[in-house]
Amino acid sequence: MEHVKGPDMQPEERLVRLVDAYQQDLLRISYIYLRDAALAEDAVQETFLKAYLKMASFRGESSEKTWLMRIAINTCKDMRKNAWFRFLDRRVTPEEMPERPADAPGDGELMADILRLPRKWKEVILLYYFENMSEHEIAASLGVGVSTVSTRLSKARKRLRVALEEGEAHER
Amino acid sequence: MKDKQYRRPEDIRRAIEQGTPFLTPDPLLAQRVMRRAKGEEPQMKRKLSAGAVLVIALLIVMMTAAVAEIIIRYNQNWYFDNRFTNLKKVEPDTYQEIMDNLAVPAEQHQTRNSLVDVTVQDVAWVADKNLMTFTVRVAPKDPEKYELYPMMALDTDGFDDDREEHWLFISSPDFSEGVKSGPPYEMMNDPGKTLLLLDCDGTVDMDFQMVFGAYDSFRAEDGTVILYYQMDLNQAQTEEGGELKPFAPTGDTVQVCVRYRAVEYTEGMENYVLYHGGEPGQLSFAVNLK
Repeated sequence: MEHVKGPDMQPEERLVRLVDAYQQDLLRISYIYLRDAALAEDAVQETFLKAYLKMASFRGESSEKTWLMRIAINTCKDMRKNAWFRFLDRRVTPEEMPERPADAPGDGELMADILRLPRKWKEVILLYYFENMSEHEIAASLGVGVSTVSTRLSKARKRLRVALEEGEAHER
Repeated sequence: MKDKQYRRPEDIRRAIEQGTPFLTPDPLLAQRVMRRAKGEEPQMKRKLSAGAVLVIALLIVMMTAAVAEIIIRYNQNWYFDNRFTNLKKVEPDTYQEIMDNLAVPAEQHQTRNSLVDVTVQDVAWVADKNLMTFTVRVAPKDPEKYELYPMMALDTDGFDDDREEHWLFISSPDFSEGVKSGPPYEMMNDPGKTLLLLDCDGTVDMDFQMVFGAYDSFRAEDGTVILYYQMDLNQAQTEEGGELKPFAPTGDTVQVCVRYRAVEYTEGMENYVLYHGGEPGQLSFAVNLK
């Protein structure tokens, strides 16, 4: 498990490393939450700013990825709570969605299916299948119980018709 | 794979990767964050529109065009009196200045929309506070077929753990009878009509960009939807040479353009269609700064 509190690293160096390692992952989870690429970029910048300012208080009880995901998710939730959130420009329209790649039949449709999932299901699908986080890590990131994560995963799989049994997704 | 419709986990990963090519990392992000931490970088470079607050009104404006006399029932004065704003009490000077500067735009343009008619009712420009306010009235083109509500009235968290449907929240414009909520077709006055939702998609193609603003929308007693906007131009920015700078009006007018979508609601419709689909439109007008 990699921790933010590297032994000899300065905060600036740690920040650069965190940004290199996790920017893309945080962009995706933020986009899933906010459905807007520009807002997702804002959320990621805000996430790293919070992480940078709070780096000294990170106790290393979870992986830095889980820690950052939790900050990002809370940041996105805060942005969604803002009354002006719903009136922002939404950059991605159905017409702008990427066309389905010829060599990957069904992927475009699957992405659309994922985006259409209820938000709470979308986030667990992304964290579990894409970020390769365990149910325990997801529970820590979202601030919910492991059983809640399992339930949401199960419902989301059913909706997406994911042909998996529990634990088959990837080795833990 | 027991069924060809089933998906494998690697399909999910690939779909997300290939479905989000527009999410590109910022190579200077770490430097931006450090500059922000030191207060050297503005908060965020968001290119957009208005935001949220609330307010509005009943004022009778007589437009003395030779051909028509239009009575505008809902305008800013009514809004400040009835909606849940406290601007009138907390900032009576600002309120009075808005009232003193109410005007109707000389001309306004809307894109073709088969579902709704959209009209700017009144605008106000308070020069010493750099504050712009305006109201927009939206009416269904076919009121026999549609019952119109603002998208805000439909709860966005319909897909919850214990409820998987959207609810419609209804109230009188002044909240005098409280708020009721339930499945849309149980809340509508005439469930035989189609629920039409008006979603405001912010502003576009203006002389300036707004990071924060105020916005409210509600259904008036005559079945129209009223939108109220408040923009503090002290917060407005304009882009010059790739940099955002504070906006300073240079001419006698400032151009405003609001964007909206009218969405026909059907039970069980996909959220993606609800929040991205429908028929879009734009309304543009000029606000006189003199």
